[in-house]
Amino acid sequence: MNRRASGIVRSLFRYAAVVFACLLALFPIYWMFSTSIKLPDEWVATPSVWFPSKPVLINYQFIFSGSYEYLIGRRPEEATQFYSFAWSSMKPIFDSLILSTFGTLIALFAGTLSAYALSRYGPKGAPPPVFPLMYRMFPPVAIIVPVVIMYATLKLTDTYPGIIILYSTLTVPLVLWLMKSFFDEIPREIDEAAILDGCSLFGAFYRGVLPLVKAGLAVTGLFIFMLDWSDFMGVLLLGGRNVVTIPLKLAEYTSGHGELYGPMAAMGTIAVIPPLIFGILIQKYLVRGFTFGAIKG
Amino acid sequence: MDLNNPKTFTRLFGLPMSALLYFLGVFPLALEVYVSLTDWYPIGGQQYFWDSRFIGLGNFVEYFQDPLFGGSILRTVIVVVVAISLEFVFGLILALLFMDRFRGKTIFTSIVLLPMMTVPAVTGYIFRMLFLYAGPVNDALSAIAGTRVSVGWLTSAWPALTSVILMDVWQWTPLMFLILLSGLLALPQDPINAAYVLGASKWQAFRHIMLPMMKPIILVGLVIRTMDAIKIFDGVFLMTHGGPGYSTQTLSLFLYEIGFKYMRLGYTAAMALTVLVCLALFTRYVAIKPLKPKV
Amino acid sequence: MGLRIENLRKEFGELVAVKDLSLTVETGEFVSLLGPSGCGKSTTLNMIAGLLYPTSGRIFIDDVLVNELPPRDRKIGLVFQNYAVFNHMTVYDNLAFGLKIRKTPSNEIDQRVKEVADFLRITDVMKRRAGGLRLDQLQRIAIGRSMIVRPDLFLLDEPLSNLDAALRAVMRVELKKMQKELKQTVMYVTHDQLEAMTMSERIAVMNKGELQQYDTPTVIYHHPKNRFVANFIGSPSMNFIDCSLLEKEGKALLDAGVFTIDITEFHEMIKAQVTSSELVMGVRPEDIEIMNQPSGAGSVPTSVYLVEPLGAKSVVSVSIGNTIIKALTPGAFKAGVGETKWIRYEKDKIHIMDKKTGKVAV
Repeated sequence: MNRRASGIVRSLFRYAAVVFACLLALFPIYWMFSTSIKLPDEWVATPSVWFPSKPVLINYQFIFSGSYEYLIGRRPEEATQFYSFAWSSMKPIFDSLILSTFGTLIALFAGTLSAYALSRYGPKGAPPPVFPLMYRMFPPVAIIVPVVIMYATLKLTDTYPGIIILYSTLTVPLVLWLMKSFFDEIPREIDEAAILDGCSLFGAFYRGVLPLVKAGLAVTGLFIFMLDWSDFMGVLLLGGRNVVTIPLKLAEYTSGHGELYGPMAAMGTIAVIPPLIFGILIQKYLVRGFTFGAIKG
Repeated sequence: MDLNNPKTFTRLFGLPMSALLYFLGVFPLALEVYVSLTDWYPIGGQQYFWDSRFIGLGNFVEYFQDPLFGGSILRTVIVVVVAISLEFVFGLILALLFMDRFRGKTIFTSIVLLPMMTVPAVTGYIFRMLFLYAGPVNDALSAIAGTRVSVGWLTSAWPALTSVILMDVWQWTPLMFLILLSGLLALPQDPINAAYVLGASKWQAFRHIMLPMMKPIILVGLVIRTMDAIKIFDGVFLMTHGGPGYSTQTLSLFLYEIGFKYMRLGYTAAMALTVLVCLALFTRYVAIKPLKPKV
Repeated sequence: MGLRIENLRKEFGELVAVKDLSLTVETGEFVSLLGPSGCGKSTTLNMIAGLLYPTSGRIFIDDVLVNELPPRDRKIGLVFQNYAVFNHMTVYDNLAFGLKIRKTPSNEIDQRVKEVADFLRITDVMKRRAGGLRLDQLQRIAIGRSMIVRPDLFLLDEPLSNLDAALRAVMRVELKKMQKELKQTVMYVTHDQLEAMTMSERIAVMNKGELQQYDTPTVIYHHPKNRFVANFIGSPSMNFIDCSLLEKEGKALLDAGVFTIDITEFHEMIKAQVTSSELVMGVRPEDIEIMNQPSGAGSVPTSVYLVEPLGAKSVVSVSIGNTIIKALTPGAFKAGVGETKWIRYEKDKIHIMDKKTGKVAV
């Protein structure tokens, strides 16, 4: 066959395959989104409803305000169930934000400083005694028992600071490795130049090198934020009443009141939006993030 | 305190991270070792720590014979092995598809990466909805098969395990894809061209030249995914909660149940420690050593 | 006919890498594609190999049109500049690769691999991983694995540029010997004119995607067709002196300011080919004689500018007017900077070119 022609055929196959892959990737997310805009009787139906016949926003309204629109005509017990759900829907979103933001900031702070020390002065200069890389690889469930005990004793259970510190500790090794790889890309000459200009060692860091890794900082920050935002086991074991994040909220309702698919889907949709956006933003760096800097993507 | 002294400087800079790691890392580990040697069981009357008895290695002996523990390990292994194999194959296919330039590549790439960026707990919930008895998966199967197909995905043992595997594959194939793609793109082109000239077809060149050259990266991808997959928890919790019965109770779920539903803290600590040690050994010998030159 | 190229052209978007290239290579002939970096020679080679698809033009290998054939069907061998050996395989497997792909029976593979390995003298490292070997061994492996499939056409892309000078000299001889023994048709790409001159039966000189001249080394050396070729071939390179054509008293003179040359006998020939009377005169350093005393008509006084001893010979740069030209002298020649010497040349060793087009008239 003519080479040009076979090239075109190959492209067509590729496009078909790529599109198919994209459909597979999108479908579950689409399903959740479409459920979030469906009317209650369409949530679970046989046969399943692929396209909502009348897209509505009541599920979202419900989360945020507990609108009564579709409560009219419902039995009183159902109404109360819906109502209590609504009451507590804003809180998970809020809590997730707080925990993720502060968790990220602290991890960034601690990790970046150590990363700089490690990058410039080698392992004997810098502190982490346990191999940080390994640390990230341990299942949280492995250390969760003692942590739960500690927190109970220190009365840190179900508090914001308690969980924030946990998040920071879990992600700080990752920050270390990522930021180190970014620092390693900056030549030592910059530090030396800054010192020659009269900066202290700290100044060399703060004024000389740090501005240059701003991008790396942003990328790492977004990545850690995504991880914290996705956390589930942490709040499962250490949260509950006072601190509730979105994943936790979802869990509460699957074990029992499983019928509220609409609002749950709505909350799920809201939950995935920040990571999705961040993920697309830092797309290029995802490989580096997930492989702890081992591979520069 | 002389801030310009390199030693002081690095100590200071390392302080925040050390503090965190000692507090919630080293100390809990030590504590866990201690607890694992007791039979602390808050529900069974030993309300406080000091009520528990020191039983030495009793916990360790017990879990050795515990069928539930063994079962959860087995299930975890099944899930991990099958899921990662599938992720590798699909990831490789995707990487090959996305290797060359083509129109719209960036957009398609972003879309294909979406699953990886979804919150795992939410993914669990989504897949729960999908695999419901009356859900779209059964519908789609019915459409393909022609007749009504109603698999009890969440209500029967093997289908449940399958759906867990499928969920993991959906969520993490993009990561394999990214890793393998970066490996593919880093391959030197000349040996591949040499193979073509020597008579190799695209497939032969791939099998004999490209794939072997990618071994290091493939190893990295497999190791990282394995590490993560063993810990699988969020999605399973929300999708099947370990059920039906125990059929999808993976390791993490099992530990969670024993530790926090049944509150056998001493026992859980023992098992958790063992898992920890095994993983650490695995990391050291399978992961770090072969990769040393790169790191 | 081993290889025939007709009007080959390759564009990369706006950039035209190869412009309308046509040439033929006889079976068993050793031809070089010579030119500076970026002249299109590697691009051409890749098109012949089938790794690049031409924008237009046709390629025939052994009189078979191969444009639409993928590399594997073209019966060619290709050796890369960096050898591109399969590092993860043993030397044996590298050599056997082409045969294994074609599903040759294994005893035949064994036999042919041995033959090739003996011929290239790499039998001693057969079992070793190709990754850690010396450069010259790698090169032999690269050649061997291409040889073993008995290609109709052998393509080499600057195979010697990674070797040091001594090794290069040795390999030049070896390669040539091999080619002669096997009666292989070879196209050899290089930027080193010495390699091309010593090894090829014909040289195709290229610049900026265009074929400048395609002839035997002798012809190219003695009768370059344009300034580029004249300048590129020969080391040290040719001297160029601007001059103009004067007609005086029925004679034609080449006026270079400081001296003139009577070229009446070439007048008609020159006039037919040049666009103006602005000309350039080219003389090779080896054709210029430096003398301590003037001797006969045509000796021009010059002042020594620089002496570069090369051992057996020296390159002496002298200034005439405001140009500097180089001359090749026996090493024993003594000259101090600023001294006055006389140079002499032979008229039929001069090349006269049109200043604008560079085309050589004589």
